[in-house]
Amino acid sequence: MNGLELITPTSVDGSGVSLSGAKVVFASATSISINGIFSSNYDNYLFVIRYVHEDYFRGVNMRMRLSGTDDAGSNYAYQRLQASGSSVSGARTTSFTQAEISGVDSANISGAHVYVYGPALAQPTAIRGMSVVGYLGGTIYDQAATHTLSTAYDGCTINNNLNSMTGSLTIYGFTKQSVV
Amino acid sequence: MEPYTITTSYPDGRTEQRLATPEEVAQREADIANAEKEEAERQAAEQEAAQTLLSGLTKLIELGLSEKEAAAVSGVYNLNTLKTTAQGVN
Repeated sequence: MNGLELITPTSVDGSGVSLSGAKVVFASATSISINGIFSSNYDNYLFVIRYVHEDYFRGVNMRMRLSGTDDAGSNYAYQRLQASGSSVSGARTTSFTQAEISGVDSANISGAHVYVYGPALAQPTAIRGMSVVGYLGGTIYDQAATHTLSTAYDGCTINNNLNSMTGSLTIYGFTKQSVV
Repeated sequence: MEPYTITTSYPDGRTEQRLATPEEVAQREADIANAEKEEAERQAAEQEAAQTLLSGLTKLIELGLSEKEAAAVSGVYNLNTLKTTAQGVN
């Protein structure tokens, strides 16, 4: 089969976090740990996330995870691009303890596609997040991130450090077979 | 911060609960401190940029442009939003 295949995590961790089939559901959660999603079955992955935040517009972060333990070392860097009205701005953060992957806003619904390249390969991981944030009716909040350790990871944790998020996400693997 | 409860959920509906380890609590505290610092810096930068833009708009208005013209020339979409941001209200 070619294309995207839905992945069911082996388990999820966090307060207010649960599984509904393959869907990760979270309610008033600050940290969403997802186990057993990255493997040799796929090289690249897509997270599709839909959520709201309980407070003002915030960035959302990701950490790589292996056997239930996050890598919280200063091994992440990310570039942010934000467009709101006529204002477009960017910022880079390096040697940080997590990678920003999207934004989320209160009241207005937010959503993101987050591509993760090679997390289960013994080489550095690249991450690309593209999100719509409901702030002021629609704000673009994109990220390009890297994680430098050459470790094969099997999961990740999605963090919102200030306040909590409610929503759901699904994870897909890109099949490695070539299209005929 | 007190140890908080972490729930693990499995596809078959089983759940397990445990208290966060001291390392997890310490990491959470560090994450919150980092996020608060970044949020304060972001809000300060946003406010400073809005104040600079509002100052420029005010000078254009003093030169004779209407508020609507000054906003259009500077690309400001919503003058009231700019004023609110310049005041540091989010």
